[in-house]
Amino acid sequence: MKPTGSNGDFERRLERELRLHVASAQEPGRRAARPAYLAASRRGGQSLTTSGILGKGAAGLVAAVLTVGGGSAVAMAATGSHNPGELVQSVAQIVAGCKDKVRVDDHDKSTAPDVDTHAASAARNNHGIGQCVSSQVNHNQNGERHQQANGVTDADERKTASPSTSPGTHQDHGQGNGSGSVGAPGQGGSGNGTGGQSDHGKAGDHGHKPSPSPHP
Amino acid sequence: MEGSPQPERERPGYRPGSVEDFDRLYEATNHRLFATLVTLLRDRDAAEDCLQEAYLRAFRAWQRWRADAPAEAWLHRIAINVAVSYRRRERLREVGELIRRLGLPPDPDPAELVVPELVRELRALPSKHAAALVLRHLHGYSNREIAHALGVPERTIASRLAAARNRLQARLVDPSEAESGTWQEPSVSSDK
Repeated sequence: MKPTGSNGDFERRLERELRLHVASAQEPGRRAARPAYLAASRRGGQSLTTSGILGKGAAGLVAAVLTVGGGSAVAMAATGSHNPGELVQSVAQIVAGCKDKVRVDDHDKSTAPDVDTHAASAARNNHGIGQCVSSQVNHNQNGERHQQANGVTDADERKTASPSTSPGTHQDHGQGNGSGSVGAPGQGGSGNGTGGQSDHGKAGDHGHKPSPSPHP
Repeated sequence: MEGSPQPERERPGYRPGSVEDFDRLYEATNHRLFATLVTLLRDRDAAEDCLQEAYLRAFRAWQRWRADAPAEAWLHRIAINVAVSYRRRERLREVGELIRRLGLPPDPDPAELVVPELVRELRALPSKHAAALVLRHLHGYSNREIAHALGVPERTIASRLAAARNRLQARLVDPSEAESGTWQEPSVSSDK
């Protein structure tokens, strides 16, 4: 644009003063070095990775296993790993295996003459996965505990070998019935796999909800 | 900061949805967007807040960005909308403050006193008029780019710029002849 006449003078003044003002305002502060969108991108990245491995429901199930089951100690026992990345991977493998197993079972059932609704079928599947994962986790957990007991003290071994000393807490271990059996020793079953899965599945949904339009 | 215009908007190659490309876009544009916001808004903190908000919104919409518009103009559009919303809220706060003080004139903002008169009067213009002037006279945007940034047809830009310049000149000659000392958003769409 070519400034002309007094308008030209005014435009030149406008440009000069705007530049001076911006120069005096300097640059964006320290927040610009760590923009807010980066946090969003990290959150998005994580949820995408998890869903890529597991799918929404199964991701919720992993969270349920890790949360309801007493966190890292159970996860470690269940997967035999101390590395969080490996923990997630191992649990993911367990869940994937269970999904396959349940799918096969479901296919067998679907050939039966009684027709089921989709929702009921899904609920049954989730419940099946919950039971399956619970049973796998308990299986691994017991194996891990047995190994530890062999290498530690007689008292530990006795405790491990005789779950009847504390019926409310140890009874479930090794049963794999999906009703709070993923609880850590001493915690008891504080929830069941299905409920945990349901809640965390919703949380997963929330994470993948499309963002609102910026109305640019 | 603004002296050597090497506009990002002329560089091709941003892929919608690519985080790496968005990082690149951020690096290339955040200073210019900040310059726009710090001119339109009253203080640095507000400008920084709006800058963060604008990039966050842009990032959420990045998957849907289409390369038919310059990326920087698109970002400016989002940032200006954020600034307009901010100014509306600020005006509401000012009205509330005025009512609370029962008509007494507000204390002068010390930060505002050191701002050049021209910038102060520019801020008193309708947001999108002020934005059009900033985009043209600070960033050297073309009419087409300003149209993208403001979300209005290109043919209205020349008249909007002329109207904005006239209003600003009038305010500089005699601020009292302008409508008021605060924001006048409703007239934004008057020349659409």
